[in-house]
Amino acid sequence: MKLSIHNVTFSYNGTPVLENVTENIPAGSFVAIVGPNGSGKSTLLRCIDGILKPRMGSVLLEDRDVQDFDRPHKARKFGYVPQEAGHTPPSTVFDTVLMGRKPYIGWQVKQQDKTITSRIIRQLHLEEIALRDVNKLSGGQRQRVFIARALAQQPEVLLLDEPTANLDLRHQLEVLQLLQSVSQKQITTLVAIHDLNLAAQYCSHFIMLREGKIFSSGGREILTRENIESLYDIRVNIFQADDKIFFVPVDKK
Amino acid sequence: METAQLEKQYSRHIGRKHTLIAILLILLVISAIAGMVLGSAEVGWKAMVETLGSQASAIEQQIIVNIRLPRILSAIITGAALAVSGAAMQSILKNPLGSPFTLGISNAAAFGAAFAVIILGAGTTQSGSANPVILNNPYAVTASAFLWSLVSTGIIFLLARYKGATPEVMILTGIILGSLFSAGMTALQYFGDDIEISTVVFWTFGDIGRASWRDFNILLLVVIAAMVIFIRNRWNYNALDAGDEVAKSLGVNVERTRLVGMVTASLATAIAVSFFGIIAFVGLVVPHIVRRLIGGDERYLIPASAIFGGVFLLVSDIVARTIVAPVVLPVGILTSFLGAPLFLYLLIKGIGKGYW
Repeated sequence: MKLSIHNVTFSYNGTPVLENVTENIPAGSFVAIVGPNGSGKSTLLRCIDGILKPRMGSVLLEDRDVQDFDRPHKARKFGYVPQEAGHTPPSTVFDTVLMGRKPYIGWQVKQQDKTITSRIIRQLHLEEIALRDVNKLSGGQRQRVFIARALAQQPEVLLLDEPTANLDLRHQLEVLQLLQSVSQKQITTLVAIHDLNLAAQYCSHFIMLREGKIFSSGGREILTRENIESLYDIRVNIFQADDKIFFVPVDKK
Repeated sequence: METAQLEKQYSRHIGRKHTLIAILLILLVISAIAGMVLGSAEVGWKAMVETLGSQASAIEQQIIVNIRLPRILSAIITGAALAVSGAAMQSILKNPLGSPFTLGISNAAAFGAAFAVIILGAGTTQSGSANPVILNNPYAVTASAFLWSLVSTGIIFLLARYKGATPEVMILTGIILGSLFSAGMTALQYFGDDIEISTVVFWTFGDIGRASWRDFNILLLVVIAAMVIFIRNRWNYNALDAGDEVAKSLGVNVERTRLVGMVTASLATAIAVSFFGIIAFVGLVVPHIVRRLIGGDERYLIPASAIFGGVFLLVSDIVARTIVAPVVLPVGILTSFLGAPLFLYLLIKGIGKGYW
């Protein structure tokens, strides 16, 4: 599925957050959106999903403007996982994942919706906790449940805002490996992420945002010392081992 | 675990919810029968059965058909309307403390009803009767109650929409609006004659005793329409419970769902209030009790709240009719005595923990 962001500009109450962001995203790629706090990462994700309407520019899926899609149609193309859900009324894991079928459900839940929900629950190894209240799960489990809900939408593009925030190392790896396998199934996956080392290990495409503009974008080759140092205004050391790169921040510039 | 096994497990889980709804329905029928038999006047089981077969004495038939039956049905419908409005408001405003009463909407509707009767002359008042107010134009009274309730609803809605008000701020605003409209009622009393004063006091009581077959249609019609709208939107409310962004990404028209839900809840509240006055706390307490029993899924919460709201108000009314018989207490007094401590409990338990 061809996804392209074309000249997207967005502002909150007159303060520009995104300015002329243009990017072509290869189908089935695993994209990391990186950049300092307030650089517009989350806003970009929301504009792509159509949660926010860009003031100018457009997001095109197969050359069609996302804003022209009717709501259920859009929801069948894009899945979104927000950063933190906060307190929600009690809901079981199964019901939460079934919620992802909302764009397909008319008056009643169909057998197919339940089958797809069960399948995704199994794929994400949530079957043992399928009838537990989502609010009572650990952070890692909750994140998996919310990813499962987005996958139940059977989207072509999956968007995640800081999916590894608040997770321990093991769960961080688990979530990123899961997302990598998702993108390998031709679901274009975009994550806003702070952890450069994780991003460098798992993602195939990178968008660097700085003050609402694209600072640089491309494959792993753009993860250079110069780029990282000027993106974050810091000094970093770079280590390489087994074809992997690691960044260690050293000092402010 | 196999997929089929997982689905079976889920079906059992859902089956329990259906069973609970069935139990609530049975409870409703039992309370309704009890409501026909119990009361100041002794009407036995035999008379009730005979009435259904049109063989009872004229007086017993009169009591059952023209006094108790409309009262029972009104209690069920009003309880359902208030409870389901509360459940919907709690979801729409993401505020577990939301309800027609706590957000000041009931008070606004009561003011609107009193305003229509005293200022617009939509009611005839007569002294010396057990029922001092006759609404000669129930449509005008309901319309006025609805329009004034929209004032409260609008303020709460805008506050939630543009200021992202916390549950506590919304409740404080509800209290402010409540006292504002109480002051409005006091002002109406100040300028009214003694019969008009008694009229206004009636709306502050909350009493199902005014139910009669006349005007029953409009009550039933509005509440059924509201129910259909709420049930149609059950998936949308579920999505809203997961957060606005998630709801939007699931294809829900968040703004429209909220607006339609709030206006519908106001209409249901307004009609209940204009007929029977302010019945406090039903809309707050019932959804919380039901949530404990059946969970937060709006697919079950909405119908179960409606049924249990009917049971709750009906049983409260039976108790109010019999507790100090032959004196019949207004049911609003009872629901307040029951509801206020529960409200306080929710508040203490919930602060900082999200209330659900």
